[in-house]
Amino acid sequence: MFLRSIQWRLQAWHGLTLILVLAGFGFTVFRLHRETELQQMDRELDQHLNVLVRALRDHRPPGRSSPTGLDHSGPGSSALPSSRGFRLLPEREELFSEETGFYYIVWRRDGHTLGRSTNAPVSIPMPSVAPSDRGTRARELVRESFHFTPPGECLLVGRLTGADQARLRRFSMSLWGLGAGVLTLGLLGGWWIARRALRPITDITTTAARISGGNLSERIEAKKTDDELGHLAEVLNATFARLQASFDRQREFTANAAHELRTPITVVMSQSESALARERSLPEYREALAACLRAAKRMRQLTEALLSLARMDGSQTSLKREQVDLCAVVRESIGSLNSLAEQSQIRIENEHGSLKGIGDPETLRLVVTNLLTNAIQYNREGGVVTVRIASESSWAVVSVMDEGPGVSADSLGRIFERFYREDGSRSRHTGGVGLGLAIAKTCMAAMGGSISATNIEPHGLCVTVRIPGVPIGG
Amino acid sequence: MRVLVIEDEPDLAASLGRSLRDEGYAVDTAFDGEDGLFRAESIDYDAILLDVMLPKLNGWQVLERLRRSKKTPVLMLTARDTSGDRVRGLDGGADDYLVKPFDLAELLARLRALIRRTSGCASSLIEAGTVCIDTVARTVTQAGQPVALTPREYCLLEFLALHRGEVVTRTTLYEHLFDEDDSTLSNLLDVHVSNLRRKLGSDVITTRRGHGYCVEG
Repeated sequence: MFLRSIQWRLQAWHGLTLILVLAGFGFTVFRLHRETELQQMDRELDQHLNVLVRALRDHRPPGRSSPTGLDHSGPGSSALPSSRGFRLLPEREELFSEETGFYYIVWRRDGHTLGRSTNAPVSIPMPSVAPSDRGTRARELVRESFHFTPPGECLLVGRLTGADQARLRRFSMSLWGLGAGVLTLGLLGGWWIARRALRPITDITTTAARISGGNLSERIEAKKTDDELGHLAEVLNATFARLQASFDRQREFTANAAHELRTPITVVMSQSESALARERSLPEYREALAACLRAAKRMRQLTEALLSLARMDGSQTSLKREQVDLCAVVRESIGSLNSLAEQSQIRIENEHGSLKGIGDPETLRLVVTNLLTNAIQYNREGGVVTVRIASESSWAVVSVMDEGPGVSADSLGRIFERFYREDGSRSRHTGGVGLGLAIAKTCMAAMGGSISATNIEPHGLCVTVRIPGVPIGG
Repeated sequence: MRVLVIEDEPDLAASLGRSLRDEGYAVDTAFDGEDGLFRAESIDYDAILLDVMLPKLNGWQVLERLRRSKKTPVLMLTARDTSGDRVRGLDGGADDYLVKPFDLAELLARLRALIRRTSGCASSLIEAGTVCIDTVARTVTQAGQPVALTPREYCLLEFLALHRGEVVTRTTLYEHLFDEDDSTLSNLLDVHVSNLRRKLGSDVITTRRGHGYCVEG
């Protein structure tokens, strides 16, 4: 489980690297240190050995070379003659004492001890003859250098190394301690850094989880906007904002649709409840049934509008893209609305001509019929609806103008919103459900066209739809 | 009891009016905010049913302007049902709030409660001396014996009983018992009063000459 966390993985790698580096470093330092110590010791042993060798050479008169080799007399010699063997002069003898830690011993070729310092250990094995005349050996707690003279004497200088080894052990212990300290500090520091670096991720995760849990209005707090995590937070925030906007739109649309459906349901319920409450006259029953029918028609109108919106929203690709004769579309739409226009005593004026655009004929007819219906319903009594077809650069344009009151400047941009009504009420007289222009806008967007509205002076509203025109020669 | 219905959906306004009249209320109807506000300001209604989505002035605006001059109890009717809308309605001076589509029985009960609360009664039973009025069942008993009253007589008695201890003028009685479609003759009131006295006893309603009528508390 720990290995799944980035922080723990980072920490593990960090620790491993640190241990390897520290171990390599410590080992090398220890080796180098020991090497230096040994070299130093060997140098000192050599110096002492040289003193001994010189003393022995000076001690021996030139030309004489006896196997026993020792005439321990003569002025200026560094060794004192001794009947029992070889001894150094006192000032040289001081070099070999308990204080300095050095001792020496001189053997004859046959292994007989010629001389030794007072501090020399009792039993020292004589080195066997080495390939060279000098050598160094390490025994338990001592290190010794020896020299064979040409006559065969063996001179050996030694030193107790117990103290040195203890020092070396202490050094190694301090290296271990130091390493452990550095490792601990490194791990703690690494933990801190990793934690600091990863904390924003944890924050982002918690916030994102909260947001996806339902509270879409929340945002991730991005303190540092210039680093990678800042960018991540920005991107996530933008995503959440888009999501929220889309959810809000959806929620508002659903609320509006429910709201619109509630009114006719209320009518049906209250009409039938009131009619059933007691015995009524026949005309009263008739009126109640007629009211229920009106409400039902309204609900049908609304559900059809909602369905066509839903269909449009999700079916951009299934629309045809073919040449459409706009004039034919307008003529057909007018034909289907003639009776409504007559009822409202509205005259529709259509400028004849021929203009082709690219779009889906069915959808276009739906849009034009929608616009014409609005123009009839919102017109003044006995007014005129004018349809104009024109070509504007690369667009084929249809304008529908009425002589109604127009809309306020505020509403001009909003009349294409779903369920938007200028006076905030259901348009009781016109019977619309507030979706006609929204449907038209969705249709036009799906066809790659556009829709817009302007007020006409002195009164009236002009709604203009544009679809891509047919390219010249096309 | 006279009630104003401000509702722009004619079918709904019609059915509400019919049901309320069935319950003995005098009902006036307004189809937009402006007209509604004008009526509400010029007549002392016992209660107002106010729709929110209205042409010209919406329900909030009507309520806000009405509250500058009148304390008439208002029951808001709306299809919006989020708690924010309810809070807005109640904080804006509405006395109750009902979401469409509503149950007619619930609407009537809330309306009764609203009118009762306004006149300071907590119970749906009003007692004035030996007379006991059940405003839910719309029945009257005297000393435990049921008394049969016509709807108008009942309304007159209920109104006087709700304002018992006060002198209620004839004008007030006219305003609260008859809607604008009624072309009742003024002496009809005296006929109803004398009928009530005949059925309940002459001491139930006292006449303060030159002032009006009174039911002693």
